[in-house]
Amino acid sequence: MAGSWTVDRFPQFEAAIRRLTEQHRELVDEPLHLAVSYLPATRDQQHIFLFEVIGDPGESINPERDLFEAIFETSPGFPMGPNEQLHLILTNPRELEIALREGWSLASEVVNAFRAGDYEVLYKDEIGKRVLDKLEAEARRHEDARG
Amino acid sequence: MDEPTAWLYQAMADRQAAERFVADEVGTGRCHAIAKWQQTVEKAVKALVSALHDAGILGAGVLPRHAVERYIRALISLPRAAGNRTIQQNLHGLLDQNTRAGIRALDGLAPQRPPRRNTEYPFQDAQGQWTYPAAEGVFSQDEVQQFRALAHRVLDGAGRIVSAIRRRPS
Repeated sequence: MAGSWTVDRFPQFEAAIRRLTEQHRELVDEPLHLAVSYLPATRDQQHIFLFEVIGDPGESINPERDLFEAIFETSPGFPMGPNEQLHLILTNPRELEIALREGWSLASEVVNAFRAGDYEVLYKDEIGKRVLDKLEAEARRHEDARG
Repeated sequence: MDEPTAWLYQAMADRQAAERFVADEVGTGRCHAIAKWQQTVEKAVKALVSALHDAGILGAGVLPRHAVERYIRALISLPRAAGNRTIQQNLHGLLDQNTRAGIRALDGLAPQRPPRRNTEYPFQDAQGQWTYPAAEGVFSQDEVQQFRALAHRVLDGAGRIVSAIRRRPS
């Protein structure tokens, strides 16, 4: 799976999403722990999703009980067609732990994409590895629950 | 550290200070906590302005004035452009009508002339009697909860939007 999903599913975005992830690694005030490209089954299949777990200094928890999502359209650094969009889903390790425990909507989308194998890890550091373990465990738990 | 981060960090420090004031059960710290939440909100809004300025979306950056209302007006009327649409939506979501009303109420408690109920200086109440912000009953527990929730919402939301602005492909 690793290294091939983005090329197979979104060859037109492969270089741009890797470049963007590299740019995000340079944001030292908000260190990037984990970056995953994925595609939720229930969303527009022409859109690409980038899930990032970052070192948010406030480690804030969204009182509205969902992860933060920003949607971007075409730009010189990330060219896209008229029906294509980049969805950026942002969280921090503490918030993600709560989101997984409470089944927040966007966190569940990520887990479901993991379960379906519709994802690729673009970057992970030591904290990111632990977060990834939790996401994979959660995906297995969902799979087991389905029987 | 960049300027938006510096504003966010100071806003976080203000919010922490507010929590220390509000831990006082007698209630004399409520006025100080509310003043700190006002500063939290002001700095969170300035972090947004600074990040949008750095990204080239907003022409003017943070100026040496308090004027939170003015910044909010600028934030909810960003120049329309394809690349800004999501940021506009996020800003409208954060600075919805209730939140804007809350921010106006919080700003209205800053000292002003003629003196009326505020968070710093003695003033005359509705009956013309002199009182002071730390006096019992000047600020209710409900107001404390309301302003605390407002400050948390604005700071956390601003932090997320600043993160997204930094990460937008350009």
